[in-house]
Amino acid sequence: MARDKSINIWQTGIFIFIIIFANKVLLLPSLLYRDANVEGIFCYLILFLLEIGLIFLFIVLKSKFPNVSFASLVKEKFGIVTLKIIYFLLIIFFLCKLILIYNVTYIFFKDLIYKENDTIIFLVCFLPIINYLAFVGLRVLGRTCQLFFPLILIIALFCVIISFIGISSTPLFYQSNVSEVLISSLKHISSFGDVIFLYLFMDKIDYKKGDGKKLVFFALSAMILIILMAIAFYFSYTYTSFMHQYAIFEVMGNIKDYGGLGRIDVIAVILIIFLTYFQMGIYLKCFTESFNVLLPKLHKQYALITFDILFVIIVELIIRNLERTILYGESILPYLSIISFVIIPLCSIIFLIIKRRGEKWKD
Amino acid sequence: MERLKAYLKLIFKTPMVIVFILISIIYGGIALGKDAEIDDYAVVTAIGLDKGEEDVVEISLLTFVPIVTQNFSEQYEVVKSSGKSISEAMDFAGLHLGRQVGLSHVKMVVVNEDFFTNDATTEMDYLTRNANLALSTTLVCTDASAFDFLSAVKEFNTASSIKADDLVEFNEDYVYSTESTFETFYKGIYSPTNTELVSFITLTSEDKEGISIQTAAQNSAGGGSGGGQSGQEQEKKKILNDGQAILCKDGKEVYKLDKEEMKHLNFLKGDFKSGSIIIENFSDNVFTNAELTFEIFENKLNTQVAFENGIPVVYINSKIFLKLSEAKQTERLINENVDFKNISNEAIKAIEFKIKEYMQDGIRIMRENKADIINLYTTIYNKFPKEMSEFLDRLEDRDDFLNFVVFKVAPQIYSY
Amino acid sequence: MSSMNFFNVEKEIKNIKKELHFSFDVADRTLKKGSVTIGFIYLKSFTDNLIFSTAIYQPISDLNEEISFSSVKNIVQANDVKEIKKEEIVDNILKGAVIILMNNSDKILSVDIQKFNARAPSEPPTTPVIQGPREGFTEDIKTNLGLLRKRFYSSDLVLKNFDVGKRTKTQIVIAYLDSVVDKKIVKEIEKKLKKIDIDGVVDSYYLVPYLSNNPNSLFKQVGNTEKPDIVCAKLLEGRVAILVDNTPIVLTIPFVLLEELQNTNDYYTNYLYSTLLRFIRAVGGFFAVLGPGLYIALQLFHYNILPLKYLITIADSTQQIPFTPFIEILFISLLFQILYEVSLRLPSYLGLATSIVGALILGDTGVKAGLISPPAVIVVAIAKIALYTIPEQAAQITVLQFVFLLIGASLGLLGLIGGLIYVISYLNTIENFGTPYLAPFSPFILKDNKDGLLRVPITSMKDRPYSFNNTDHKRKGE
Repeated sequence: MARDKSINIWQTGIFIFIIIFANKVLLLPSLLYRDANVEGIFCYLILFLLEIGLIFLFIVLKSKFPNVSFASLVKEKFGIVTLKIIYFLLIIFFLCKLILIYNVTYIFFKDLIYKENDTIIFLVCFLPIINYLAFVGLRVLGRTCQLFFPLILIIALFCVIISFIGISSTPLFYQSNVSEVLISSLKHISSFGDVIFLYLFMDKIDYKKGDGKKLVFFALSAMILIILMAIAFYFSYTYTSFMHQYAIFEVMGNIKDYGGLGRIDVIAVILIIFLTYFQMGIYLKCFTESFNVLLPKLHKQYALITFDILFVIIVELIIRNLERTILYGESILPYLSIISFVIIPLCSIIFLIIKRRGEKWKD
Repeated sequence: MERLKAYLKLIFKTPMVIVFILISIIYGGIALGKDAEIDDYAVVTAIGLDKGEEDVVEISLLTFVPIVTQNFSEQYEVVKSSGKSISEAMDFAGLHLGRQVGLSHVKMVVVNEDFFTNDATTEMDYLTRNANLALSTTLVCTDASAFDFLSAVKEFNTASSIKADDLVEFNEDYVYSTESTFETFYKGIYSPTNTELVSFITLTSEDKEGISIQTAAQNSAGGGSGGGQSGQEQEKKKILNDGQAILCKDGKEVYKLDKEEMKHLNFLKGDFKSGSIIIENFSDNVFTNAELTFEIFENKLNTQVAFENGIPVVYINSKIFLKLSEAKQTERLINENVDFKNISNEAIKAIEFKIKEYMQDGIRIMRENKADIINLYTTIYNKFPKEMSEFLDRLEDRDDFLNFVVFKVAPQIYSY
Repeated sequence: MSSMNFFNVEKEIKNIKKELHFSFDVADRTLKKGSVTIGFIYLKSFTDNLIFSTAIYQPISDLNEEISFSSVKNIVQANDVKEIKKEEIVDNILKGAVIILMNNSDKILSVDIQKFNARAPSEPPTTPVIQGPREGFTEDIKTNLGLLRKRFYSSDLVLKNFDVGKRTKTQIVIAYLDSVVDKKIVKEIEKKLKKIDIDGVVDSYYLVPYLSNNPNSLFKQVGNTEKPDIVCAKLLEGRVAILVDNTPIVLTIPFVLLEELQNTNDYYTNYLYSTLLRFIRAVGGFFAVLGPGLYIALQLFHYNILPLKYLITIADSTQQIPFTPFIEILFISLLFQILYEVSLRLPSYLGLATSIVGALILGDTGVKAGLISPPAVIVVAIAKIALYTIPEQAAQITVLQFVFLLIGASLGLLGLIGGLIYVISYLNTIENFGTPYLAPFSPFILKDNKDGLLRVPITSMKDRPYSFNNTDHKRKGE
């Protein structure tokens, strides 16, 4: 059984695509419109720039430290206490992200395809599968994503292309100023920056010279698709964009009766289901990876058990509706994004500077 | 203890098998006894809203009733209920039906005109919050009771392949050149000019224009021995789609547009799919006092905006492609004459004049009702945000801005 | 040479018979020529008596010169004549040899005169072809080896012999191309075969659990075929073939799931048509696995996804059904499965009657009686038929069909997609002999996809699969 062996660059690129695309196609467009009107597109651009920066930083770091893990770099330079703190923050970060994704998609599925109030059925569907995906190893997860990626890509492209058919008017521009755009970007920063998973799996990615372009290609493809979808969303719904909570689903809903097949927005539902499973699987893998660094003597099964218990308690007791989820995503999570936009890049820059100075480094 | 360790080892070794077995036992057991969801929900295909007495809302639900049949026929029923709010009325409707009300397949919402005397959005809030009801659902206004309307629609849906929402879709494509849905209604509400267009369809009595379906039940009632009840059943209504629409501001009806007025407005909007222009008493070297009908195939509109002395000037240049479809005059026309098919310069001038009149009529309608139907506000603002803001600030009534906009229309006619 | 070691022929024959438990088919003959006694012992049920008489007994009997071991060895007219040790006597007799003992020698001669009772190579019923070779393997390993040798007129084909099974001592031969195969795979197979501790090998399938890394898995991990041309093609790709005596099924290793989508006919017809067929097989397999589960999930959980027209059809047709949808579809699936089992076991003259009864009961009477609904019958029927687009995976797909039916009824669309992800992940964990199970799709190997779902022209297939660690990846003439 292949456990935690390395993944190739294509699989890494697919992970990047899934992570970037999955987060931003449901609630985010309508929330950005509420805060920054059509200029919410600039929020996307600003935050995508930061994400691309993270990816470039990773590429440089990886090429300088080809066979070293991020944890060992941190331990080497900053000591074990800092390592534990950083990875503890990462555990909290990924746990919070998992809770956010689960809640958003739970509400989405409950409203649209499941009308029962029974939350257990969603836990029963998601928890075993994401636990399995996190347990079987990175290589298996990578291969599985790779196999489903053409389907995901085709459906995503279809959704974006079809969404342009529903455009009938132009929205009103120049409603928000620069400060509103920046504030909105900060408020929703937690939806971005998940590409730090690359740093966590640094030593498990087969990287050769010139492979960086492939990673950037995947990232840019996802970003372009998201921006196109957001443009289609804002142009389709204009002034009522804030009323449509599930962007990728709603842009398809403009097409009333497609060739006798009825509503075609169900295709968006299938896309979201796939993306949610894989996204949660990758995040849980990151969680277990961080947990194993924090507590290396424990078997990874204990990481999964810990996650399951915490997850069920928090999801069942604390967060159950959309408003609370949005509040949680806008008020608590942005602070946690410090880990992805400040701490990890800062550490990486320090490592690169040290390397450049020629200090001895145990490779 | 050893046995427990062995069991734990087995579980950790094959966790998914254990999970699958548990799911099969618990949820599989439940599934064995679970009925199809269609048995728990009443499939509603159209909703009607009427205002009752004393702030009571009456809803009518056109519900699909499953029957045992081999010939693919559809059976519908109109269920009426009332309540203080639509939500309460829906609950009572569920009681009447003995099922939960399922709104996932609603294609049309018919609203009585009374709702538009005040802001209709306050009354229809339930429908926007319900996640199952798509905002792309057709919205229709009627002067008749929504219950009667849906009863007439019921005959259609049961007995023919013509559906009432097809009529509205036809209007959307060929008459209004715009949709009449919840989405467009709310877009208008939240737009800067608060202007909305809603499709209007009325009911007429049997001897007038319109469309209806004669069903077997109505036949037997018609041929029956009479009596009060059968007499009422014989009073059949016809759905009359006259190409009308109501113009709303802030959710309130301000004007009713007929199909001619809609046509005039379309020349300002462009992209309509059909229509015709009639030129009367026309004479040139081919025709003498003829009535010519030209069929329009395409209207390519180009709207340019400029600011002159702080006043917005809108240039509407349209390229209209026409074909002569009918010519009526007292003398028979010579068929071999090649010029017969061409549109002469005189005809072009006459058409241009006519179209200018139409466009000006459209502008008049918009100005009188302070209704920016063609979305000029957005067009001007997106191009000149600063100038437009300054212009609007100078006005006493920002809604009235169209009265201060200068329009310069220039239709160009091309033969198809 | 000491005369103390010379055989007492009668005594030796008696000892050998005792070792063979005085089985009635043990035959012995003695020939006295002067002072020399020559003893023959063999299994009359297993040897060719005519060859014994004409090629062994008669020539020795007619020998004029002095009878010695070497003269007997030279005079015997048979292909496989060899000197053996005493402990090999019984093994050789059991393999169809006649043992010759002489009282003036301590050497033992074994002459192979095994009688071939095998049928002639014919088209296997499980892999018919429209165009292409129709030869199939038989139960006789020598015939099968001959069919293989016929396709490789080069010294590159290597055959290695093993005996497996304590009691049956079944002959197993592994075949591979020396300049192409990864030697590690060969070594691993040899190691696994040597480790097998089993009573007897009745069919090649008995070896499969020993050769697989995941023997308890539902999914096939060793390829099998009855056709020599397929084995030839697989050997050329760098695989190893395992031939087992007494069975026409030849195993091939390593195995990837893609092989099930490929059919012999694909290589003997136009490549565009083959590509289309492969896509259809993939779609058929997909529908077979997920179709009934999806149908039941939509009925039980997601009626709002169904377009109104379909909803009306399904609602009208399920009105009078006394069962819940899950029980109904389970009932129909089980009925179909029972019909299938019956049709396999019934004689052919009864099969037609059963088919008619089954079709009438299920298709017509059941619907008219209101016990089952037409949409459910259609869905299950299409799924069962689609199953046979990939007949080699029929067992696996049938099990998965029931599993996904249960998941769809229990958890709906989320469960179905989750189950699908789980199954694919599980398949990705399977790696036999260093080859990922889902190669070349996962991991994606571009070059191997020339013969994946697509089938490019044979002139474009210039490489051997990169899924295996072949020694030589280029297909070229020498």
